[in-house]
Amino acid sequence: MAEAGYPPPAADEVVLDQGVVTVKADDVHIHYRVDEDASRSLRDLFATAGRRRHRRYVHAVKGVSFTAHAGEVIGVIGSNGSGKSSLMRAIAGLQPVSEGAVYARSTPMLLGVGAVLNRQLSGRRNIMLGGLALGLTADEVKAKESDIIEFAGIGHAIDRPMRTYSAGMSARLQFSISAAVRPEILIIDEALAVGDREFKQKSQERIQQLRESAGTVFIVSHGMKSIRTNCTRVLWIEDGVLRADGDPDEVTARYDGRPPRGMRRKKRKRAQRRAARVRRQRELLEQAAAEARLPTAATAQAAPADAPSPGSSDAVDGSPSAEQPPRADGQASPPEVLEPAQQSEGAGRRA
Amino acid sequence: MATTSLPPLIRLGTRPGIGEYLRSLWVRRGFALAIPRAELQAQHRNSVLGGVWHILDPLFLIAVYYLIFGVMLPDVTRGRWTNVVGFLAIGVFMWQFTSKSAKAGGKSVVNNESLVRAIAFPRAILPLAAVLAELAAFGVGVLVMYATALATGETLSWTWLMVVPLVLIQFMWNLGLGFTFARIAHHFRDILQVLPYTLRVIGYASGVIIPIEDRLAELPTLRFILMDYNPAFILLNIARLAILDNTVAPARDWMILSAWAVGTLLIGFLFFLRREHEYGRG
Repeated sequence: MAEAGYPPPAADEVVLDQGVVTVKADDVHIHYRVDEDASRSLRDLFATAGRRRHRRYVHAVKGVSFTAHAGEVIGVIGSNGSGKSSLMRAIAGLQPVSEGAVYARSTPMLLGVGAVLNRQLSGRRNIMLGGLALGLTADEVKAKESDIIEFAGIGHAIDRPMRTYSAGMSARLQFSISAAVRPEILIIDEALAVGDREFKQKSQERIQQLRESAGTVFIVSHGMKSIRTNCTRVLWIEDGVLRADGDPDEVTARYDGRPPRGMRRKKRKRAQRRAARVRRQRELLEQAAAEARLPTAATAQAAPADAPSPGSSDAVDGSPSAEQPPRADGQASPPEVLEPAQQSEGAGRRA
Repeated sequence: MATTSLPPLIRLGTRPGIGEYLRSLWVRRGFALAIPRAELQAQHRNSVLGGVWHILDPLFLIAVYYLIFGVMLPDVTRGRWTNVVGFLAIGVFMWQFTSKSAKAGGKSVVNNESLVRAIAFPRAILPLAAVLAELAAFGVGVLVMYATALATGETLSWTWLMVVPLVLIQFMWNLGLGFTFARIAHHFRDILQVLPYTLRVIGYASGVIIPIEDRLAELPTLRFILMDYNPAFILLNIARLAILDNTVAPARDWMILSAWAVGTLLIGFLFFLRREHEYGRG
């Protein structure tokens, strides 16, 4: 699957203690040139003076650096338009970076919503097309076909044209096709939100498998609960800047602690209470850790395992809410890098 | 370190060299062939007669042209070629291959935006696949062309085989046009609205349905542009000489047409490649 032919190789090998580096983003900037008037019409062509006026430059990603390792499941969070999708597209090689560079061990694969190949054709034909598009040979696709169909779990609909599929069905098929390719680096953009509970369970298992086969998975999502259950690490992108990089529970708690946006007071109060509780517990643990002369990073990791009670974590899930805890106050924290011990701990907790 | 056996980190998003790019195209050749197959399958899925329309469509067109130019306005088609139906069949089928390829290639990138946005693959696959689909459809068209010629009293000859290399040269030319219009449509989508009429005018001026030889006899400048160096006219003339006259066209014609084909393909491919990284974000 890993074809180094496209794009071409460059000599840059980075190996850190954390394990094998799979993706490295080095001061990535992304600028867009956008036409404010999206349609390119004859009028635009002739009104040459107006053409320049309509152009605008958007600085979507402003100098993001991180290093991803084999076996990590990295959640990417941030509000709409924060630049997270642009960053992921750059990692998938779909978006040129304006400054800086992205390095990867193999071409990462982006699994997004809407990559329907041909709506007129049956799901089965689309499996073949999709597999070939992703770089498999026809024989390889045929060998995997029954697995893909079974995993998608859409039954006889597989022989119906895809235009008759519901959004959930085509999302399931797309996920199944992409996951069957077993890419070393997989980027999932909001895909987990679509399936029903059973399919979510299955896709989580598949992500786990990819992770265990020394792959790296990126998950872009607004669902904090799925981020917390699936990920070993979270990148928080806000306004094109990497605002936090570290433990999922900690970063999502801080993310939830942003200033409220027109939400109901009751919910806000509840979230506030929860954030305060988490903070208190974490402080206690940090204190205990300091006394026990443990490195602080390890406590930060240990804290969330027992800190939030299940009920309260449900209450806040998915909605950025609550008053800011003082420590999250608009300040970008220096990126934290996970220790290998933490990774294995994270894996053990879920296994 | 201990990890020297691992593949190196590669830098993403850089522009590959031509050789590299062609290699990556070759790797995805299965994909390039699967798209046209899927497209041909999908195109007429909702019609009762299905793929038969690939043959019926140009046949109807020939019938309409014959009705207008052979029966109602016989003076228009009177000229060097006596077999009007054979003349029209060759003109319409051959020219449709080029005009359909240019249109399909032009649409290929802008119409597959979701695919281009979702998966990183060499984008030249799309125009290539579109023109390959037209080639497959035209393969049947060539047989219908032969059948029409036989039915209108032409005799089978080895010169009919000259159509095979001719179609391969035409394929290169069409591919170059497909690449060119794919990029132009990316910048300026309206070209797709203008293209059908432009191609139609070029076709009429190149003798697709009206023989232009006698009409241009007294007009040296137009003759130079529309006959001596016009790839469309040369293409149709070679095919008509082979099928209707059972003769092989002079080497000069083959050479000019080949130069057009190779030149268009090279320039079109490089022109397309220069914006490779931009497609899908129109």
